[in-house]
Amino acid sequence: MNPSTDPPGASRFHTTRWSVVFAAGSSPADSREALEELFGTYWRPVFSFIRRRGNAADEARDLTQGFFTSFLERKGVEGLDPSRGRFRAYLLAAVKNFLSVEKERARAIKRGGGAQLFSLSVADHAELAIEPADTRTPESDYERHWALALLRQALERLRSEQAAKGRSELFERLKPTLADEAIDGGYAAVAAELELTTVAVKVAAHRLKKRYGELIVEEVARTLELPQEIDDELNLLFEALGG
Amino acid sequence: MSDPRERIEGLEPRQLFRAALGPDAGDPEAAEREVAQERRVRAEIEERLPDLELFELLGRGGMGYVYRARQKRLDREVAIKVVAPGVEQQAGFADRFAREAQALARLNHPGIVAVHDFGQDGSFCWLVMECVDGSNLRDLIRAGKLEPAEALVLVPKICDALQYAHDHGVVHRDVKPENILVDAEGGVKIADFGLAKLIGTPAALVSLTGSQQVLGTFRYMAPEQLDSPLEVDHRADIYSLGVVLYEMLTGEIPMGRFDPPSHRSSASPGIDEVVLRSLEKEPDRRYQRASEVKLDLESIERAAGPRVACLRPEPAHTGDGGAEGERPAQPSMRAVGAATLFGVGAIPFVAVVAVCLVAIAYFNGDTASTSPEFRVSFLALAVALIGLVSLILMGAGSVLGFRALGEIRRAWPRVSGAGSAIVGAWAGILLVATTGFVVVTWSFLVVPGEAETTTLVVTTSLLLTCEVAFLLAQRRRFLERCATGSGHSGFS
Repeated sequence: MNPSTDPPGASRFHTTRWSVVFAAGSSPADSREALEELFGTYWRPVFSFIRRRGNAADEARDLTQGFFTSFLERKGVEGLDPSRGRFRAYLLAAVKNFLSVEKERARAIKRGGGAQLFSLSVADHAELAIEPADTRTPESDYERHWALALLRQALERLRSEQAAKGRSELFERLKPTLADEAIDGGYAAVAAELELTTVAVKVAAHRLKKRYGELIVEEVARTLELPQEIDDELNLLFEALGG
Repeated sequence: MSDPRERIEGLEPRQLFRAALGPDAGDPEAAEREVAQERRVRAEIEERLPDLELFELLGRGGMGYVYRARQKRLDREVAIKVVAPGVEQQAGFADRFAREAQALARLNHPGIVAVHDFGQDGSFCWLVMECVDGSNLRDLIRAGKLEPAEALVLVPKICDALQYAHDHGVVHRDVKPENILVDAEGGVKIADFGLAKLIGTPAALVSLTGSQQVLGTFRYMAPEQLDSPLEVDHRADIYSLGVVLYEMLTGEIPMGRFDPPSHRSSASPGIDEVVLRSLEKEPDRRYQRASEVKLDLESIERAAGPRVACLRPEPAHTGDGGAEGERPAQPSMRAVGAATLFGVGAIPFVAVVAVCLVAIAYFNGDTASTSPEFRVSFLALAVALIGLVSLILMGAGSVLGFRALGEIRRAWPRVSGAGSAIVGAWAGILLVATTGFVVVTWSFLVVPGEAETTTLVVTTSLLLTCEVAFLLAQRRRFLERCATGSGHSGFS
């Protein structure tokens, strides 16, 4: 991919999660942006973990929100060392710290004076209401949702890259092939519809999938301190999805 | 993965994730090719090793395929490991494969997956191994099923197996949870000595693993192994074992500056020392033998014993068993001696007292209570002597009893006998006090009538009951003090 065709703001993806977190806080606007990005990507794994620890859906939502706010203020993360390596493990340790501190306080703390920092969509509310239904541990749930979050994040990046190249329609039609799923009418139908040759569509699908793989690896790499850990982390997350 | 909430824009996450895995990631037909290859491998095994009845695929790594199988002639279950087609084309592979097999074949230990047979025929290389019915440590850790106590049971077994291998000149070099199998009975078997370096084999053989490959799994490697994977000795295994132990306890890998395990789990602080010493960067400062790790862990387990005993309800029986830990406690010899001395002293003492009482009653009727006949009579002398001896016996019992109590308290809960010790220590004193009371009261009664006798008997009975209650209370308090006292410092 040519960097010049990346959407605006894509450069920040070359930074690691650590820099996003620790460069934040220099100005309120930066904090806000960093928080929104963190929250947007990782609220689900954190929420799942807190929920699975036996908190009610509403309570878990409050705690999740409270966690991200305090995380950015670096409350309760003093004892944690970023050189530990994995952002996933780091964030989880921070969540655990936060929960143990919260436990000592009143049970339902509404942070920010009770005002919600982020509105959750109706779909999110539907998700929130789902009860834990099996014997997964909070940690395995967290890992699974972490993997899902990475997949979503990479998919969003792929979507914006394609949009920047004016290929939104092709992307949306070929999206099922990312998961090896058939597309309605096959490649020929897409080719006919978009006035391309079938071979061009096949090549596009192949490249799309390849790029998606790269983006997933990039997303994973951003959460790691050492590049040598990428394979392990990929395997771990893939297994987490199977759980 | 049929749960709709876990799909991403309607797509199956695992399939999406495959895009990021492997060199064929971008190829939608890769999965199909993989299946076809696995089928070919299976067919080849069936053709070349007709004695094997193949069952399911147990695992697939970078090196090859592992199946569960049955050897028809011997009717035994085995695992067969076959090298993936293509891998054998790597330079020096054949030698490396033979080395893995030989390294394994040298080892015969219940904690090590046994190799029954191996062979090489052109590109087809196989290894018939013991089939372990269980799961690997990775699965257990991931399932969050390991308590510190469980880790303390498993790790000494791993130490045994490693020590055995080290004694036979084999370094595993890839100790990690995936390679540690735990069977249904909680037994441990270490698998995959495939990367083992045989100490004493020529350097040329050792270098077969190739200079670019960093062997083993990065996270479990000793620092010296990261620098020069081929030069490590058995102490690299001890480092890896330290990482595994830390992960078992905390679920995390120790990286950078890490917390001692007792801060991140309910493990006792004693384990911190073991983990930290296993994880010393400098091999010389590490444990030098796997058996030393085991010894230290076992002593921690012993020290942790009282905590376990503390949580147990006190045994219901009133014997002198005390609280019993996992192992039967040894009775204190002092306590036994004290109780025996009391018993030996108390019987003649009571007899003497009875004689005295009869004599007092007899002479009280007479005004000449200090009759010279009685004073000099042989019987009186004998009674006095016996009384004296029994007093001495009970006194010794008392001293011994108190010392036994101290001993039991220090060695709690390995030494039992609290009941005996308390009887030895206190019963003699109480008996003398009681009889003193009775004799004095009795001798003040000029003519003990029936009413007076009855009153005295009732009073004495009450006194004796109180004393028995006192002894039981003493024992209970003592045991409580032992349990709480040793829960902190172990000594008091």
